[in-house]
Amino acid sequence: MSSVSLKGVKDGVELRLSQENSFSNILQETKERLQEAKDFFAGTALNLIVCGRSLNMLEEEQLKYTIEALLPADTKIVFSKEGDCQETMGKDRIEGYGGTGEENALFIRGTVRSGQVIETAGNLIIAGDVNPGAQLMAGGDIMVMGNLRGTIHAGRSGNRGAVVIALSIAPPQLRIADMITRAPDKDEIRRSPQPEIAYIKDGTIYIDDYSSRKM
Amino acid sequence: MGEVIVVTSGKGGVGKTTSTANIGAALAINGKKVALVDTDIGLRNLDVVLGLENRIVYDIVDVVEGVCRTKQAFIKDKRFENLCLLPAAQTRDKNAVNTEQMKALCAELKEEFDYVIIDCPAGIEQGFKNAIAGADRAIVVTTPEVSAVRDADRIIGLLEANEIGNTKLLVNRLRIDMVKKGDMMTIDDILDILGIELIGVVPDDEDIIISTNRGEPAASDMKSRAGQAYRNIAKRITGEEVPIMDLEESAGFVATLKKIFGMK
Repeated sequence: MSSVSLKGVKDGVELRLSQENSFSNILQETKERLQEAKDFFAGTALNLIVCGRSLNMLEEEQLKYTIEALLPADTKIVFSKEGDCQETMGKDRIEGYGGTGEENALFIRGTVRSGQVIETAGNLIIAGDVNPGAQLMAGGDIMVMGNLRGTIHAGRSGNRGAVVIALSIAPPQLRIADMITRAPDKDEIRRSPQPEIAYIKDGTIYIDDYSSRKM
Repeated sequence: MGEVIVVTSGKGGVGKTTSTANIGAALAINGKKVALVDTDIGLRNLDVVLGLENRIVYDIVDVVEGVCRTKQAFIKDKRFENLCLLPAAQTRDKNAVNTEQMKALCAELKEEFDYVIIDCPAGIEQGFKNAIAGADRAIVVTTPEVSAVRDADRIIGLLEANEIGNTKLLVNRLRIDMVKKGDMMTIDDILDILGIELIGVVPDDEDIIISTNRGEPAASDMKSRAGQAYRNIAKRITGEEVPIMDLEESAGFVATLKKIFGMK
């Protein structure tokens, strides 16, 4: 994902800066992004809001200088407080299962084995099995393209809308947001040939066939 | 230039030492020059299983500390002229050797031997780290038990993290009669979880206990089924294609005998 993006908001256009990456990279990408958008903005009195990253005075000056060189002279540049961004206008947010649609996803290839821990603030995708004794933790959704037999925690930031999808869900313990469920003591785990989904409904964690759930 | 293979498992008692001794003996029978290295410092066993205990003068700690030359510490096996053992020290602990020293030792041994087989201690601490430090590849030993498979999984993860590729699985002490009754994990169950390639299946065999106690590797006993399994594994290590032994037939026969005599 690029570390600089332009989004239309209520008060104008937001220049969103990522918190990762060095400032010099951000500066470079800002240049490129504005260069691409220059024609689009031509002739409009633009209100440009810089957000997403808290900047020091020197960085603000540098950024301002870069922007002024590329955009019309009457462009108004505002630095948002604390780097907060506004809600995006229109429907560019994909409403999945109410998961953290805009978060980054961490993609892991291969089997996650016993003793291995994978932790991410965003969504998590595993192309492989998750074996007993492994631990997955994600702020958003977790998807496993394989058998899920390790301990997992989705929606760790408290998001009860988070879901877990896997080809088979049979972990000893499953956590979504602040809720915990564990596998039945007796070996009564049914083997479903279909992918499964775990989600919270009415305060209980359910595991269902993936296709049976209305999207 | 030889190859360094570490035999490891995580869990204790699954047959690392027995497997090391038998694979080593089988490779030596096939004419390969083999060095067995026991890294289970403080709890050495490989010398006992090979029946070489009374010939130990120097050990691995003496070698890395420069007390003796590597050659002096090696014990030549009386039965297999191609087989050598570098025993572990019994009076020291795992911290007497570090990973750098092990890497250097493995590099040195590789020059002289076709195969250097390292018997790894149980656990994932210093002893394990030493054992895998100089290894080119690994054989993970497990038994068809949930706990052993769980530990094997952990070990495979650690081997991957240490960039040791080409890890193969050895399933030890399989009882086909129990598998048939659904009382034991099948090979497929195990492979389904571990997802690595199988190098061999060794049946549960009383003869192994007898031969281990006597200090004579079962691999040299042409009548032993476990010995046959180890000889096949040795062939697969050298790159030969050998089909996995059919355990059904004789286990079925034994089971029938047992049934006749009312043993269960």
